[in-house]
Amino acid sequence: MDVAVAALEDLAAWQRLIDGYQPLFEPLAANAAVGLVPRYFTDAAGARRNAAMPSTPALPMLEWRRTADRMIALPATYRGLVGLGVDLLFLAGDGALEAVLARAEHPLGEMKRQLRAARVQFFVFRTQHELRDLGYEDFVEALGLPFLGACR
Amino acid sequence: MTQRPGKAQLPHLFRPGRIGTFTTRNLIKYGACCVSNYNGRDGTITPRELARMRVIANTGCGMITNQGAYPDPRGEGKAYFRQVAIFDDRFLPEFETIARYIHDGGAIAIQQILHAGRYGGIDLGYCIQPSVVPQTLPHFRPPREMTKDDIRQCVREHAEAAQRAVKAGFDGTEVTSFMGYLLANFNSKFTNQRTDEYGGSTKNRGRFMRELIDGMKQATPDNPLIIRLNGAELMDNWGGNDEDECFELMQQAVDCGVDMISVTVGWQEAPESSIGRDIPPGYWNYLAARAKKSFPNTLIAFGNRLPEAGMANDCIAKGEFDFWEVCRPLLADPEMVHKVAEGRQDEIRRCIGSLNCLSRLFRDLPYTCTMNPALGHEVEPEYAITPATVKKKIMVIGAGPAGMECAITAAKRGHAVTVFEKSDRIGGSLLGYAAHDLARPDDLLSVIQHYEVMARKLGVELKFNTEANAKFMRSMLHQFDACVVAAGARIDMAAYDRLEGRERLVDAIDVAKGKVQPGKRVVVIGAGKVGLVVAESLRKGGAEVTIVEEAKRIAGDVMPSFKWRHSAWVEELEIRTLTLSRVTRVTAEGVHVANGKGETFVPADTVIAAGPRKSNQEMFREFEWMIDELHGCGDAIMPRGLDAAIQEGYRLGVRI
Repeated sequence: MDVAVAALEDLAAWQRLIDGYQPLFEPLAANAAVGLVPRYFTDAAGARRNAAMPSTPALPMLEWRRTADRMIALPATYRGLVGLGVDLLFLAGDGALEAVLARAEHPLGEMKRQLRAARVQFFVFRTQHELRDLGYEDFVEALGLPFLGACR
Repeated sequence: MTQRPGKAQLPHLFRPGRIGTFTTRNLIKYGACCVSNYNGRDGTITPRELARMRVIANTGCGMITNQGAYPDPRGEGKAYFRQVAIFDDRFLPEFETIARYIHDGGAIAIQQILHAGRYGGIDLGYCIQPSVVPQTLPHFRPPREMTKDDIRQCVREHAEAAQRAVKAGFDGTEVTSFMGYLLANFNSKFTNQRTDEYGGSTKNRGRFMRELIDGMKQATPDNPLIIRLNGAELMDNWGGNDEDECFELMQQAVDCGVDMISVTVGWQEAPESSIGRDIPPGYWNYLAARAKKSFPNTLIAFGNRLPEAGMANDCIAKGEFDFWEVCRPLLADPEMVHKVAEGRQDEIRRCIGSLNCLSRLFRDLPYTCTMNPALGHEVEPEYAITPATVKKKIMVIGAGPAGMECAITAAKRGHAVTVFEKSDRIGGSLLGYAAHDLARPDDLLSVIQHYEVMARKLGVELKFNTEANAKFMRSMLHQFDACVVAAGARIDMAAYDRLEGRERLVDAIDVAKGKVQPGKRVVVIGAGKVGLVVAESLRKGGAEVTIVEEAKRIAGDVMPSFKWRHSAWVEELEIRTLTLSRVTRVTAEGVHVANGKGETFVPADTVIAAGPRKSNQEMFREFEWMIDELHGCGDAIMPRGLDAAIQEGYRLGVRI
């Protein structure tokens, strides 16, 4: 099994990670969801492809979805960037998910580091105002992503 | 006529140039600098914008580019809240005025056509792109894929926009692929995943660009066309073009006969900075040099993170590019070119790369400039430095940025100004900040150097090592007409009165100024800008650092354009950060910290109080009945930062 997929499917580990940050997710509206997908997959012809495409074959995805009272980790399916039912998407490069899980003390800090190093790519499917209304501002800022005033 | 000394010192920059059939008086191009957001919501140019452009027109540049106008009536190309429009002739009268200003100012006028693509559709709720690839920043609208009819229509609209620009009196036009706009979206394999003739190979991805260039050149054959193309997208790790692909696209543009390539760097969404204060000047020059070497017969303009005229002159002398493209330095000091020409470079107000200008655009706000409080207010007489009707003797307490800005502004108006400062030099808390800044301290120190130069040239009297208090003030009675309290802010140590062990706390300002040397295990209380700068600096120096913050997030008082940098540095330096946490006790061994998870002990040999901040306002009460006029500005009113200090100091100086 692909190492990245194995990391993705360890739901217990991801739930432990999420539980360590439940206060961060408290502002989120019910059903708000974040997706995590390995950035690369192997297609039917055996070629390595980037999953950041409008349409892909069915690939495993991890969802963090807000229920009425907490954030939970769920298995899901990714079929490309179009029509995805999440608000934010992380495409994790080789080794990134494993590194996040391995950093027991502050895994979101590792996520932030991976984002900064461009080993995790981040896509947004909502407008800024929608994200704020859904309660994402703290989470996005916790990852060191500019929520307002990006210009670099 | 005597040649101005600066021109002799920088002969390459000030020699005449040529673009198409047009001659330029020098090799300095004012870059369009995004958009100002000073205009109407409907795309009309306002008196505010015209007043600003009149100032820009007189900067002394040989070529001036007006800000990007969107070419389509639907507004798909419109990225910014108050971006100007050029999709209809009804907008032309104000464009004519701007072109006339530029010509009257002695420059060639270029109009930028800006279709923002993936960043566009601000009024529509969607944006258009070559493929449906969502953005990676939370500022934009969901994408729709362009059909081939959409592409053809887009090319037509660009051509018509170019015709309108020339009809309005502009000498040439410019299209931009910079930042991730529509042209860049087609060129880049990150955003262009089409499988038709507009996608796939670099040649195919460049097809839209080639058709755009052809369309615009056919529409305006006698007028130069400039194209802004990335030499580096900085998106390679995410599947964007590498530098070689960027230069292949430049070759395509050259083959289509563009008159100039303006080499740019980066996308808005790039994971790394391209123009921020943390990038050293000259860092990207190699891209321009590669372009000039690759395309020797095409004019190359460049200016990304190249704010210094001397460096630009040297680059031109070496043949690295043909025109210095400069924008933000001229927002900071519209007199910069004149000062350079006259050998008064020491008087230039340098752009410090704070990016408060452009980052405000994503909050739908007009841009401002930390260093130029009058930017955007040129139409308001209240912001103009005019001779004071009544010349006064003014005392300014505090030689930080607020006080010095007020002092030199008042001095320019003819007032006699004396600044009293308790330390031994100009700078205030900016000195401590610069000493520990992880970005580029030189930029911050340039602010202080500017004040030192201007104080000397304007005859501002400086009295150092002088503490202002009631006794001091009594000795000054009747000697001054007005007093400005610009005494800054301090760490409010009284906030810790009930903290057990408070006597062990050290003041972050004292640490920043070098009065206190922390040990190797440090706890910093407060994750505002003061705490973060101190923590980062100490960590970089090898100390083990923990930050304790009561709020949910760090960097609460940091400008949005810089928050993410502190967030990144804290992570990269592995600074442990405890938010939603409160110090309950300080002992000789360390601090006890309480939060939702219980209580933690953090070992420390130094505990630094870095907040809350409190304005030094006592003098307002003490001096109120001692002097005719009593004013205040900067952190002495409310603790904020450099931007507010300079803005308020200036506004007080122009009206006092």
